[in-house]
Amino acid sequence: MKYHDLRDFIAALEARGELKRVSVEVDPYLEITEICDRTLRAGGPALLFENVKGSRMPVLGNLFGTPQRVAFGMGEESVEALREVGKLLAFLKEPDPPKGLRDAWDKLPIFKQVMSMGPKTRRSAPCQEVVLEGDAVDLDQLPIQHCWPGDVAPLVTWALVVTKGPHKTRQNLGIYRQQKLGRNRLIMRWLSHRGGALDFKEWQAAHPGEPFPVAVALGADPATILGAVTPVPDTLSEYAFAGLLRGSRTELVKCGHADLEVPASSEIVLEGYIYPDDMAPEGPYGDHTGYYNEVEQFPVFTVERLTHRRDPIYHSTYTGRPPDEPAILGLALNEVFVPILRKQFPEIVDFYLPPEGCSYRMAVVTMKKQYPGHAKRV
Amino acid sequence: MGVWSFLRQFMYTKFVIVLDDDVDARNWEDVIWAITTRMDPARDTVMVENTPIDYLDFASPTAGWGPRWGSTPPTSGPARPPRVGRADRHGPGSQGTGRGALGRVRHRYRATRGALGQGARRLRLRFDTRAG
Ligand SMILES: Cc1cc2nc3c(=O)[nH]c(=O)nc-3n(C[C@H](O)[C@H](O)[C@H](O)COP(=O)(O)O)c2cc1C
Repeated sequence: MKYHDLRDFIAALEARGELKRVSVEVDPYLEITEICDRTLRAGGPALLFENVKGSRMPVLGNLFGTPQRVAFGMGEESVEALREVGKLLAFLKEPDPPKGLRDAWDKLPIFKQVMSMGPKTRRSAPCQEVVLEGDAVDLDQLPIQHCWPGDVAPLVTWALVVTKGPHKTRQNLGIYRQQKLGRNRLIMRWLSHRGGALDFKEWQAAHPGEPFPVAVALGADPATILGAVTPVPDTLSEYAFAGLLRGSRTELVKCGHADLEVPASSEIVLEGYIYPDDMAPEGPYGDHTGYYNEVEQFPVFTVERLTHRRDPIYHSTYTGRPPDEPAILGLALNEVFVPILRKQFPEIVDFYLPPEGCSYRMAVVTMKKQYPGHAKRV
Repeated sequence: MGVWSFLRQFMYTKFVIVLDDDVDARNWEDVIWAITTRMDPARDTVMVENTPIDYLDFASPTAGWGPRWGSTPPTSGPARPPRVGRADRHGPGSQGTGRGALGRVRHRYRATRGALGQGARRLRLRFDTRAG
């Protein structure tokens, strides 16, 4: 089953009993986190909060709260099947040279599939059904979650951030949390090694003093969301990878302000700029380690245009001491990594990143040891 | 070393535990048992210093840099005693060969107080998970 947009996925999950609607009023201040945290720990369903205090938009939470739902989102039926996705990525990372004509012929379908999965750009799109510009942009209308008592302000959490470096054609997609500063201002908290931060740095060097265009999609089809969290090889765009997962090309639409494209079916899109030297202290926020981060300076994203589908759904999550939703994503992605690692190190039998170790701080590897000192190489 | 260098995201993995393939990597009871029965911390640990460190790591004394500590696998260590009560693929026959490999633990460890000296800035607030 492949999903065209977030609504398709919601309907499919609901039909399987994997999504429940919550019609009683809930508060985005702490309450949604509490309900989602308990639901996730119990292995429960995704939740669509239809009546959220202070906003007319429903909130979708705990979407990828079980590895099984991550597998569904990738178009697979089971967590084990995610190894197939890993095999594909391993191949794309380092295609084996074909061993003779016959082998080349066998590999042709994969290459064809990859070549044909480039995104396609549409002229009009559902995500631009409603367009708000300038003073009409008001982030107070969104049910932005305030996740933990010690958090400094409401936080946009499931933001797909689209950027492009000055010398690149490939657009980068990453999820970076954003502190709400005001009606149209968010702090873009990308860590310095992230794709978005690197694009920004290159932009500053190439175009000093010029604003850097950024687009943020909130709520997209599951393949696009999962493409954004999967480490895809740099040669492949996340949009193309999402197309491979979905089995059909990712449909995009141009933003109004810059040469950036967002998923056509996004629920909500924020378009704007990071202006030169516009920095602000970010945090503290509770993060995936289970601690509050300290306050650090990050650039400010000024939203100049907000577009959305009719009756948009606001997609949200929280990060906290594992297990949280990113930890579950990590657990599922672990299966994707195993074939990639085994391709490089065939002696590896299994590879596991325990969620308790914040999903990447500890790795447990089992291997067939073939000679003394072998383990060192791994 | 391969795991560390292979994929960008594993750069921030501060412990790598390498075990024999008769251990279930996903089962803590198995993993802890194997570490405590097959490993000699002094001999089997490799520590790597001054590697990039997670910006979010509260245990690091300096922002951005930290040492990593790991462990070497025993290449000629004592034979591992047979497992009790469970099928052992290596079997007692492999004991004398030194191939009854012990595990290895690598662990990025605090070491040099770095030039930045930002350790004091690190907050350690526990979350109150019961919101409200
Ligand atoms: C829910 C969620 C929240 C995240 N928040 C952040 C964040 O605030 N800052 C950050 O740098 N990375 C964050 N990440 C991790 C990155 O989005 C992720 O590593 C992504 O693959 C990075 O893509 P990039 O390599 O293109 O930058 C988050 C991931 C998830 C799933």
